[in-house]
Amino acid sequence: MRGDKLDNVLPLSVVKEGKTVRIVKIIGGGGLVRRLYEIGLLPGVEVMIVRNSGFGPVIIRNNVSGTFCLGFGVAKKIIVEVVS
Amino acid sequence: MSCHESRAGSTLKARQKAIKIGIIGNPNVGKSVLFNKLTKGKAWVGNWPGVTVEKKVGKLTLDGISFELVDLPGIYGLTAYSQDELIARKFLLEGKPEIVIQVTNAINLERNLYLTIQLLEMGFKLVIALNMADLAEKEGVKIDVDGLRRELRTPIIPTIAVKNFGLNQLIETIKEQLDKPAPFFKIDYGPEIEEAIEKIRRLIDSPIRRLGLKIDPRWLAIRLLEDDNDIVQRLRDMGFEDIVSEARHIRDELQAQLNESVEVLIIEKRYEYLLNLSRKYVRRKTAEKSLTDLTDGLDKVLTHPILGLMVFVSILYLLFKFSFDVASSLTEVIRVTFSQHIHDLVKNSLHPEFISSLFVDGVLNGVGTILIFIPNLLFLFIGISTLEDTGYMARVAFLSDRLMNRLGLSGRAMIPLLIGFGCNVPAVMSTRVLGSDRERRLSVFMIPFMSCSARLPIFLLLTLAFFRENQLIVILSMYFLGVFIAVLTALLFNNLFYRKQVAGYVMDMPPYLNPSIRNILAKSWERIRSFLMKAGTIILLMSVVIWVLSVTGPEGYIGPEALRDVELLSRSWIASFSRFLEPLFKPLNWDWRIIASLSFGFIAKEVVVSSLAVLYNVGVESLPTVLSDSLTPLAAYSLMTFALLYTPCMATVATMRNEVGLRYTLLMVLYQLLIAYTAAYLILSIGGMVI
Repeated sequence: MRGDKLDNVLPLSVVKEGKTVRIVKIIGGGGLVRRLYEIGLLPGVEVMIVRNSGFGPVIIRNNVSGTFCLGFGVAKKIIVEVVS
Repeated sequence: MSCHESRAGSTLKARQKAIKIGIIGNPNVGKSVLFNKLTKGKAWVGNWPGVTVEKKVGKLTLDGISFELVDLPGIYGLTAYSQDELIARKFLLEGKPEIVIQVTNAINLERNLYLTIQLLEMGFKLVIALNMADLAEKEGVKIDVDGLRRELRTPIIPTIAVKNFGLNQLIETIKEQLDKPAPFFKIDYGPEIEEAIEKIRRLIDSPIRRLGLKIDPRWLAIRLLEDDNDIVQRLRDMGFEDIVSEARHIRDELQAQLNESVEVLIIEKRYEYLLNLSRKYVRRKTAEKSLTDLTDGLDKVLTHPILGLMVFVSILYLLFKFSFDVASSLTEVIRVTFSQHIHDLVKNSLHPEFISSLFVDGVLNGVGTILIFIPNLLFLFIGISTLEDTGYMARVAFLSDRLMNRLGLSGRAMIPLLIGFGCNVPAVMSTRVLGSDRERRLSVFMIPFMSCSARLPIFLLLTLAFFRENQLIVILSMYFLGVFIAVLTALLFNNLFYRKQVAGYVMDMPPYLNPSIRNILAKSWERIRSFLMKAGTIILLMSVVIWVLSVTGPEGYIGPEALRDVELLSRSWIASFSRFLEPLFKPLNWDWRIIASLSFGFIAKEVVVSSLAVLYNVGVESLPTVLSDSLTPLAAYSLMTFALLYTPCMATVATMRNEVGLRYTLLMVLYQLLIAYTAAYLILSIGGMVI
């Protein structure tokens, strides 16, 4: 898992508002990963960053999941690559 | 499927008993609205996640068949991650509903289908209400309902619950489904996982058959592969320890073979399946008049770190202004009508004096106290319900996240705290949506310091007597003091017990919706009704009990004159009990009558004012004058502080016990008494030095 070859990956928590990203991987324990998967946030899925002040929760959206607010701690654990 | 035999033969039998139907769905899909429409308005709804914290039951009768509808908490899946999911699953496993209605949001159907798959895997007879069909159309979402219906072998009915659209068809479909068998549904998880599922299924199949359990063995096998703690525990409790460990062994082997987490793989397979469904049956084109655009526009301001906070504070101010100012004239009307006209009427028409006194001084005083509350509560509830139904509450959670993080809580904990200003009981209950036990306990500890509407009459009365000029400021100072102590409490307990950061959380942000006035009124009325039933009966009862304890004493019956004669009253039971406590409150300089009223306040804070009225033998309207003769303003302020902070009412304590257990509840009750006493004493002594 540490061997992700992509070099433009970064945690969701630092991505600017308005960008679209693709989820690469979710770090963390069972409960959280399961919950994110359940609402459709799993590797390969694209999401748009609606609101991110950089130090608080992040609001994201896509067609499958709708709009969600992710706590800062969660956003840090979602590793993404910027698509546009 | 093996867990649900065909009901064709059992329909007659079923008709004699109510047929159980579970209503389930993601948060914010209009599930509670649908439930209310079907049951003709017995439960209330909200537009922020998790309003349905406890399952609500309603009745529906059709052509002589009676149905029992159970409204379940809004959840995303059945993995038992939060308390809500556990409640929902417990009902599905133990309540054995005959049919499950899944309410789905047509705008983001895919996310909803994840739950659908899990329900079908469990072997339920499902009816899907494709709700918000109109909004989906506006968003440019087109769903091939027939195709999806065929593929899932499950009836799907487009509905717009708020407009009653599709509800008749939904009901018809439910009736049709009664006699049909559950559909066969199976996801292919790929050869390796399927092999493991089959191995575990064979292990549990015959023991389950032997016990006559109506659980699908394949579903159980999948749950075991996903390492579902709740299921593991259940099987252990049934004495299947060997099966559990064997299943674990199979799982570990599979994990080693695939070199990845089995549960993640299983969820991925489900998504693969449903994204495939989505590709086939859901079309999206650019929306013409998008709700998302409107929501985004509003959110630019409302979730802005500075502007949003300013709007939030203004809304909060307006909410309280609205509920207190608008209500005050109504309150006045009730007060005057009650304390003068009805009072005199009853007094003059009832004989003998004993009976007349019981009614006037006991019952009527109690009823008056309850009625005086109604306008304030009604407007507060209307305000809160409106905020909930527009979807604004989720933004409040977003905005307060950073602030709450400092207390070791997530933004979502703000909602129970705000509800606490209305009533602590629903506030404590609504902490269930919070992820971790730690977060739930912390917010439950904070809630009692949120000054609920029952404490307001105490403040109103005392400020009327002592701070007539600065009434609003003094009352606001009470609210702020409460919040301040709540914050200190959270910091203290978090550092003492947990020293931990906030656990991750995920929260649905519903689009802004135009709230339906009918819904808001229905919901507010429901809340008022539950206040009347719960608090009202206690207040009434206590008013009578106080009356009895005042007209009788250790020497026996004293007579209603005791209420007019302090000399006589001091021989009553109430006086002896309070005198017994008097030394304890010596530092606070309290009269035994105040102690007596506050002790009754433990039963319900609402009765503090009415018992003061009874004990000083005046109507509530002239109580301020009487009190200003016997207390100093400083003592009054210290008394208000004590009333604000001491043990919440019995109903809150009972709810706390349910939510966090007896140990923490007792700890909290003692802690609050200590805090209240200390604060009251400090105000009295420090204030005394300053003045």
